[in-house]
Amino acid sequence: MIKRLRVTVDGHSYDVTVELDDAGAAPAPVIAAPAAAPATPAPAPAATAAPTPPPAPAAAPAPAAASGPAGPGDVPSPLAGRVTAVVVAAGQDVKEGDHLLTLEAMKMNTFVFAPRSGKVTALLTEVGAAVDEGQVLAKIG
Amino acid sequence: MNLATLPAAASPAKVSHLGHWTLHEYAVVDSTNYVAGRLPAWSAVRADTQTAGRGRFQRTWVSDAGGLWLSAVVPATGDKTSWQVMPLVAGLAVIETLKSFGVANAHLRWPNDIMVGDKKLAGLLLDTFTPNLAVIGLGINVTNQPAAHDAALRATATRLADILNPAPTLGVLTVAILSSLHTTMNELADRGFAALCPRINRLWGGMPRVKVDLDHGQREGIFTGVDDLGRLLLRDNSGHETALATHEVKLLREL
Repeated sequence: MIKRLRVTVDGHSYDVTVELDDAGAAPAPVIAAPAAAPATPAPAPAATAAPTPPPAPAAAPAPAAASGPAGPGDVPSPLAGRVTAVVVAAGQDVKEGDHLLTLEAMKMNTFVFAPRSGKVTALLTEVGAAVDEGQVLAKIG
Repeated sequence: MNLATLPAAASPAKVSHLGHWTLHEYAVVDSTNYVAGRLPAWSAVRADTQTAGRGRFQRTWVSDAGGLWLSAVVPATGDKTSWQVMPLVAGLAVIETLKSFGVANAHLRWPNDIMVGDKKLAGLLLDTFTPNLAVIGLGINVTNQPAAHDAALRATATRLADILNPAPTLGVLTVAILSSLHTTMNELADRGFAALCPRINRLWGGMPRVKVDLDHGQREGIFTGVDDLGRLLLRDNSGHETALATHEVKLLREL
């Protein structure tokens, strides 16, 4: 399955094509759960494999920020939706559990929190943007 | 806004146990959803007035005394696809309750506005502030005076007091709605959305012609309901039906 992502780095937009490879041993997506995560380890097996980095050698010149699946400081989108609020700015210091942004789908808002303390090193979305599940919304360094 | 640093609501005027629910009642709060966001599953918050009642897209919701401003915390566990339909299921629970009180001609407007004719009687807004819990926020106009606060609402809002004589009390409505929400959410958990879908699809009040705003442009067609996954079904002029994922649809307007 091919997915197209749009990544914005320092105001430049990059369109990236990602192939979802169910057979690949991709690391499980990291869900941004504040502090006390429920005791449900490793939820899905292969069904929802994380997007793997574009395997094609001739793929778009992937900018550094778009490389690979969620890293430790990445904040992936927990679901597909629309960004209705961004309450932090790039460069801002945040604490684990701070509200970063809000997604909306069908009159249900989902708050996205900082998975750890640090500085917001990249904000990869904006109000009004449609985002896919697993898409990295921000990075915390 | 950071949920952890929200101003703590004053001690509730009253805490009571209603069946499976623990109800916290306040005279005034900023938003019942925010207060409920700190509470465990099967808690509910009711306030006489809200100072920051919210609608969709950061709109405000007039929440003056006499209306039912209620938020209910329910589990949102398991597969995402099973709880992302919760806005539809919550709408079902509320409209079925209102019909049981005699609001025979109420219908749903996608996804969960409760309408009488072309006027809005009740609205819902859900928040998932934390993983595994959803807050179902509900506003029902009862004896409050929305038009006194915003004259434009005279043409677009209606109240239970305009429909039923006498209107049920807020206490009676609260008990009935919480009971219905508990039953319906458990049905969703036990039997899945497909089992509830036909009940929802009987409540749209016909098949209106609509215009939907999508990520890229607009589409017009006949709204024919939702499918077993909660997707919006739109039939175009050639009779072809398309299922639109809920997050694709920014806005639906009846034409």
